[in-house]
Amino acid sequence: MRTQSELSDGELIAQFKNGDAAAFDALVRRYDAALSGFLHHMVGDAALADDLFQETFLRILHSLPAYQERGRFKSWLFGVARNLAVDALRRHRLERELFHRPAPSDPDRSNARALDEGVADARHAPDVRAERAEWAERLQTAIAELPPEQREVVMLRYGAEMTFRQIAEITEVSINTALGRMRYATATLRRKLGVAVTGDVTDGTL
Amino acid sequence: MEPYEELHARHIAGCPRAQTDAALYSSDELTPSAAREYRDHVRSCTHCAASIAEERELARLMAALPREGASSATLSSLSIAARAFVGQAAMRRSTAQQTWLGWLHRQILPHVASWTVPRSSGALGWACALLVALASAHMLVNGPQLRSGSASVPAQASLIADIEWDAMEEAALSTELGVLRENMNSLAVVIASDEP
Repeated sequence: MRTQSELSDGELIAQFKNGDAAAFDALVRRYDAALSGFLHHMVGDAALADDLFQETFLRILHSLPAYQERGRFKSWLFGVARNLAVDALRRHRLERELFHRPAPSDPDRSNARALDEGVADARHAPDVRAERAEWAERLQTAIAELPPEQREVVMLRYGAEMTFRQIAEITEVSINTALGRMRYATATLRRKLGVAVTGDVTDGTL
Repeated sequence: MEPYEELHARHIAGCPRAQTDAALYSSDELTPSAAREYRDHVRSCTHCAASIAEERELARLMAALPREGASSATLSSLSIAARAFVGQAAMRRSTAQQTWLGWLHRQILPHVASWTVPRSSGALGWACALLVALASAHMLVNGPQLRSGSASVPAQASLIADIEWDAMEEAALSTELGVLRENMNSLAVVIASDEP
């Protein structure tokens, strides 16, 4: 017999509709990290993100009895969260502040590269934990400084591992717009982090 | 031009497919045949190869970020909310069965049964049928009204109210049935005395 963590979203929802409250807990746990990270990066405030996380799942909870499973639970969940986050930003008048946050000075490229190498090969770095924390902070700052519409695409793509079609649906734009936002965001992140493109996919890893 | 922009222009912007297909390939959104065709293209296109490498590297960097979930208080409250929701749904189902189905069962079936008995006895049958019809109409009108006040009270209180109402309803129903039987007996006596 499969455990709840092995069941699909649709199967968990069916269990919940049959009166199994633990199935809802499993859904919450499944999306805990991804949704929390998305909301945190959207609103830039841990406490507010926590409130929005709770509000998102409460709305989902009350709408689940009418939900028709078509394999789109994840899009629905993040769509609800995204709308709540946008409303919260509007309500707290943070939107203006986020759009007009002063641009940071360019990071020290060599230092950023060293931090990146530290993350990539932790075995040879004595103070890898501190470097990793510093590097993570740098990346999170760079993400936070993206325009909101680019930031949400980055978090949905890499934080929630969503496809561009799902991202386009959630953010209510065309798939080309979503791709364009990701392109601009990637360029900005690379520039701010100062990490050179070093990968090579012609070596059989395609 | 910034070093990155130069790099980007030289390695990625040089091929239009590096702007869109690379992202769609990385997110596994190309059809199998399109993905095969694009793989062949990438082997000979440095721009697309660089774009895919960039996508993968960014994904790796993002995956290394610390991931903090919701607070334990939030998770606990959601768990409690889910249990309360499931409990209330079960109560609603139970209450619905007790109200409409139970009500129909208790009020209609006894009359249907009593209706079949006097049907073959001429005037007595018609009189009883009329009484039953009047009584049913009376209860159809009054039954739901007695219950309407419980809709807005909390679920537990509503359930208790329903149980109490059911007890009252049964008592009232048996009284009404007793009166009906007495009326039927009286009618039967009157009709019997009028017959030659």
